[in-house]
Amino acid sequence: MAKARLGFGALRLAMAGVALSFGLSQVLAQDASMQIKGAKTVDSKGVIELISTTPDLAIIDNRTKADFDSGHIEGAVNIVDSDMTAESVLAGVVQSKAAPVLFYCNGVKCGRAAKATAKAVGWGYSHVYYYALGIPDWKANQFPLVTP
Amino acid sequence: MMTSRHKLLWTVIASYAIALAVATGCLLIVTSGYEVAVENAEDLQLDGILNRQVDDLAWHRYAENVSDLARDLSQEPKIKALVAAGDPAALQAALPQTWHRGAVSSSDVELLGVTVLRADGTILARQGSVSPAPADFDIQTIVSQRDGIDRLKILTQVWLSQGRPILTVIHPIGGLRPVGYIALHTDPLRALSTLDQQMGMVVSFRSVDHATQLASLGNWKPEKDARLSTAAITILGPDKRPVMVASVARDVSARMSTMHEIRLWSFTGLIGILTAVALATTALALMLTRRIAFEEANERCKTAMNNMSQGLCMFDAQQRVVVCNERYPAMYGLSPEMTKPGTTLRDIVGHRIASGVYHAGSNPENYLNERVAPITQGSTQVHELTDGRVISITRKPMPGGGWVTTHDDITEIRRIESRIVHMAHHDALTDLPNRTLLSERLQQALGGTGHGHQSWAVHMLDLDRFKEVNDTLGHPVGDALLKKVAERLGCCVKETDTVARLGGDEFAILQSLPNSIVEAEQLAKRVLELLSQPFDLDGHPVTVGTSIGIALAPQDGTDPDQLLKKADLALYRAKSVGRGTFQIFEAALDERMQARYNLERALRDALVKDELELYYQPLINLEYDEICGFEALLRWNRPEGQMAPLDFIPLAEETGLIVPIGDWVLRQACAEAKTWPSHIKVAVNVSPAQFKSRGFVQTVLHALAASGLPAQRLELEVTESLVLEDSTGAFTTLKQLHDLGVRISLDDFGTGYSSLTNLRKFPFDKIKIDRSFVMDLAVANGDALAIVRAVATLGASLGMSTTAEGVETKEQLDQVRAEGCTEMQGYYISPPRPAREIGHLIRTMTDKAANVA
Repeated sequence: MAKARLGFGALRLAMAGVALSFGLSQVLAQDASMQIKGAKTVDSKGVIELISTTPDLAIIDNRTKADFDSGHIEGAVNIVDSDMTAESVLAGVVQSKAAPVLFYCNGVKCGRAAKATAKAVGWGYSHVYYYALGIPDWKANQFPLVTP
Repeated sequence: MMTSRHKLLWTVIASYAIALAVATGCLLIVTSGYEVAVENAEDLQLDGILNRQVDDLAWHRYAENVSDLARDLSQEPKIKALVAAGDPAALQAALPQTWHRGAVSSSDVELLGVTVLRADGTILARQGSVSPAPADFDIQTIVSQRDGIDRLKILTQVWLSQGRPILTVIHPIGGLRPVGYIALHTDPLRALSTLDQQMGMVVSFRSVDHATQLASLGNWKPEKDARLSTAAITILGPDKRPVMVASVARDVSARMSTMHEIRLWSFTGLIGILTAVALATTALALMLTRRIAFEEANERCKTAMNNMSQGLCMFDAQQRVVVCNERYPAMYGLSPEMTKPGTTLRDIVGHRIASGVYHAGSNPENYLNERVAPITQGSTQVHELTDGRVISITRKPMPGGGWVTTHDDITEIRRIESRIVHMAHHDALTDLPNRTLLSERLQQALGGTGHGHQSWAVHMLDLDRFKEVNDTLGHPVGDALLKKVAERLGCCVKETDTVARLGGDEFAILQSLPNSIVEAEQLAKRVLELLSQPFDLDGHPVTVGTSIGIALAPQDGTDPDQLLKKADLALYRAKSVGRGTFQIFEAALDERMQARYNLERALRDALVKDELELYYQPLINLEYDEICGFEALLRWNRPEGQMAPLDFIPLAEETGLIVPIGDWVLRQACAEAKTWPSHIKVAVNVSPAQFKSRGFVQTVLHALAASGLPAQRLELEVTESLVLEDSTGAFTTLKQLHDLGVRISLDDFGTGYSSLTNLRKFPFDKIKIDRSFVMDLAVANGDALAIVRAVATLGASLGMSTTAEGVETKEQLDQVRAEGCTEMQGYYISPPRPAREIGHLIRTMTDKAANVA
């Protein structure tokens, strides 16, 4: 009986270990948040509405240049999130901090748009839009892309 | 013979065949099932591969490729401008260039047609071989009916043009503010064009209804006998509608051939195992049958051994029992446990001694050691057991040191042997020693006389009147008498003396004479006295006497035969001196007796040695002067010369030998007379002893029957004394013979009483006048002549013939003829002649008689 109890103990310990490691990996490989504080998350339909209703909308594609070149949303400007080192980078594209700006990338798994959005919000942009699901969602909805 | 051995063998073979058939069947079923399973698995696997390839890889990527191409073409400024301008003609003119760019820009896409539409769905221009007919794919309606945000979207559609699937991508022109659409019609098979290479097998596509073969990828053709595994899936379009059917096939011969190998190996293995099992079973069966046969033989051997009358036991070199039969322990009263294999001989002999069947003597241990001595050569010993049984034990050594003993209970054989020995030396009736044993004892006794000066007497006894007892009271009474005589004799002798029966009524006593010969006389007197007392034989008081002859040893000789002979001579003398006496052998006295004795012996032998012969003297009928018969006369041809009847007939009558001699004469005379002319009779003399013997009439009849002589030709000559002695019995016999036809003549008439009464009593056929009267015819006083005349006259008056005997001269012949005799015989005519001369005699006599007449 003692041995069996020991066995159960070991099993429980192992299960705990497995659960812990699973949780850790979740933390490490965590997708970017769907919501960025200070920004408004939009879906593909929202993006199209913004484009059609907001003429001064700045669309920022945070992906790599290769991705951008293979097809992006019409009117987008390619600024990789890591290139957004200073407010000036964004200021060159967006007219003012009150002007509407939309960030997207390859979705929450990509996370570049999330970072960019957070930076823009941090820099004081007031109308920040965040297309969290990004290009995969766009394609899935059969919306067209453009190439340079 | 269907033995159990054959049965077993056939059973094994049949079982093997059945097992082989069943196993083969099972193997075939299992491997076939396995094969089907493998085939099914192959097919399923193929299905999975096909699905994955089509769905996951080729199909979606291709749709994206077409979409990318459509985007590129829609971004062309010229097209964009012309669509915006809504100038169909210019657009149609510009379209080939766009087509060309599209056709070459993507090698992955097989571009079949391009259609450019306005935003409201009207077609502005088209290019290429495929253009959707509204019935197949109403592109205008689809485009026009979209509203809102959907109008911005890219639309991918698969449709069928004449059964062939066409993948069409409709892409907005002008981005998010579309001015029109460009639709690219492509061959979706292009997407699957590398499927054959990716799957490494032939892929063929058919329309959904299987009616049309759309394409076949790969140039592999299966071998004629190839085993094919096939799979087919229905490919769905983006809208999940079935577009076409893709099917693949691949050759699984290689894999299936391993199945054959597996089956072959399994089968070979199975056969191997079964063969091994069969061999093992057969071997086992053979072993079993041999075992059975061995046990049967063993059982038979055992039965044979146990049914032997002998006890049999086999020992090994260590003197232990190897095997023994049931008889062996039973003979010695041992239990079978005491002789079971492994028991030592010492133990068995010990048991025998303990059970008391052996005379172990005073020292059983020595006896035991002697009995268990090693056997080196065959031997046979006879042991007498305490219960009187006699066991013959034969030991025979065997190679290897053991030996076999056979124990034979020879008690009965011994008993029979001793019985035979006893019988050979004893008389069966009285159980007295016989002549053989007497001779042996005599031999022993006489052998001893030389040394011990012991005298012996040999008494020879002969019962008087024993023959009468036998004849009158019968043989059983005679035998009883002999037994009683033996008892009485046994009572009057010493233990050292021997009483023997020599045969018939002859007994002998061998008496030891320690003191003097007086003892012999005393014994003889005692015996005479004892045997003269009457015997009571079943109520018949019988008195017999005895005569005794005594010879003494060693003075009368030392040879047993000689002594017996001398005792016999003395006995002979005793009997002739007068019965009921004893005589001691005396050489001088017995000389004459011996001659007579010898004569009697010679006469007994004469019949056997064929020394007797008949002579015949003719009888002449005086009326016709011819031979009317012959008188048979006996002659004895002894080695030392012929002997006349007178010299031996009295002795023959005295000893009774006359009876067999008379019989012989009768047979011989009849037989020889049969060869003579039929009117000639034969006359035979009959002695009183012969006449009185039993069955005389039968003897005559036999002689007549054996020779075939008619009774009328036989004439029996009897003497007057015969008629006188026992007139009644004699007359009865004579009457019987006379009635048969035999003629009876009265011989030697005139010499005895010549009673005329007798002549009256019996009707004799003939009277023979004694020769003495004939011889005296010439004597002067004339008495003889008167008698002859009287007899002849008497005969004539009584109707009898008269024969004159001993006629020797012419004068005598004339006289007897003159006196009236009817027949004559005598030397004047002929002396007696041997039989062989009779034929000649008859012939010459006939002539002579004729001359006389």
